[in-house]
Amino acid sequence: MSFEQHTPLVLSNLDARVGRREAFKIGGLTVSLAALVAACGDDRTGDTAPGRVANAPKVEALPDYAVNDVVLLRTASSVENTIVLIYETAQELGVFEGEMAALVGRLVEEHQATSAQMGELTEAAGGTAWTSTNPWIMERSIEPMFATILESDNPPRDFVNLAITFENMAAATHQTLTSLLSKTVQRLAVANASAQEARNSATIVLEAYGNARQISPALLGEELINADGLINRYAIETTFGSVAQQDLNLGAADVNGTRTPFVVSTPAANSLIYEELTES
Amino acid sequence: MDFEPAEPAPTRRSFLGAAGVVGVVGASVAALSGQSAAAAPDRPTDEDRAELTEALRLELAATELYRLAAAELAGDSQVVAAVMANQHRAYAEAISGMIGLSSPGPNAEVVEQLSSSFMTSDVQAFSNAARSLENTAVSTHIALLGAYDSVQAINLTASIITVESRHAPMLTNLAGFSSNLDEMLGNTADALDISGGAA
Repeated sequence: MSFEQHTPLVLSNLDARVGRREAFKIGGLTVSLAALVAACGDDRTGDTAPGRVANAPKVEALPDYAVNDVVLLRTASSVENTIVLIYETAQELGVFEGEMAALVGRLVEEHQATSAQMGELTEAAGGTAWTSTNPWIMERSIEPMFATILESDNPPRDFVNLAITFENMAAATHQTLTSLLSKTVQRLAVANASAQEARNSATIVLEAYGNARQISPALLGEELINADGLINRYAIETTFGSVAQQDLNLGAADVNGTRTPFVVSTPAANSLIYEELTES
Repeated sequence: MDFEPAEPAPTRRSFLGAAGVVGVVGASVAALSGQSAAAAPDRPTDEDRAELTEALRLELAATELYRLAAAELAGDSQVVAAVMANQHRAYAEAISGMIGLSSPGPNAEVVEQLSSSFMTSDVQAFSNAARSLENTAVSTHIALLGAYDSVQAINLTASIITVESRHAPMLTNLAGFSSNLDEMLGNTADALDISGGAA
């Protein structure tokens, strides 16, 4: 039995401990590893897609539909038609009376006219005008909102808040389109529509809630306090036109005073009316 | 300059009469309506800067007019005037920041024509004058928007238009015309011809 005495391994003698035998071992190992890496490298073949587990369905690539003036104008029409449907539903249910009913009648005409104008611009741009509501917004927003309102403790209040929110959304949509559309005549049309729908929103607020809702407390440096599970809307809420999503609470309050929350956003990739989409 | 009438029809044209330059930008806008804005520049062009400077002067004039009103009014209407002054000052600052121009001064013609209407303690008189100014400002910005080339100028102007359009019915309501839907929802004001620096 022999005992080799090893010098402690420190930085200063690291090279001295690699003798000729160790050098051969290290060299051989390096060559082997290099061969292994080379074998796995350049000529590697096979599926480069991410690994899949179990029997999941194959992922299909999303279609690449163009977003052009026609698509944007058809989308604008669809938003207008959706708002018309909101008002006409309220009219059919008879939830508005007196001056509010008169105002809603006027707003229906305004939105129908704007939709028609967007349709004319669509055709002038070489497309097919869109004459119905926005399917995505109807399915994801309007239908569940209507279902909630029908179970509400105060449907007229909810329809008013729904109308204010969608007028704001429509104004924001047209505001956004001003720099996306390519023709000046189109930009002017959506700028006018944006101005009109902002006016509509402020007018509904004032008609429904009076002078107490003229200016948001936020513009006065005060705290914005929402009560009774509702989100207060004001004739003037911001300094610049906001295109952010809006919160909307509808329906009856639960035991905690909480109502059903919804979020309303301007149309995006999933709710645009592409040219490939046809009306049923 | 001819401002939106203060009173509902039939006394519409009596507010400021035909004093000053009566200008409508509509004709020039119509001529532009076939132009394409494709591949628009991001930053304001030299032409945009000239137009934006006039828009800035209009906003500075509005700021000054509302400050004059706030000094005369009391209570809630004073608060309204002060908020309106802040709103228009913010628009002026935003335009100024975009074009890198500190202060060309307010549009003197607008201030001169409207200052007596704004320097009042009568809430209805103030509201009448103010809603006329707001409607005129909206029409003017829309007309200018049709002439802008750059994305920044269009976007900023669009965001101003949206809120000034809300100012108008709020002030119309304050003036006591809330039941007149034509006045609340409509805007028949002509755009000011400020494109040539007339003021």
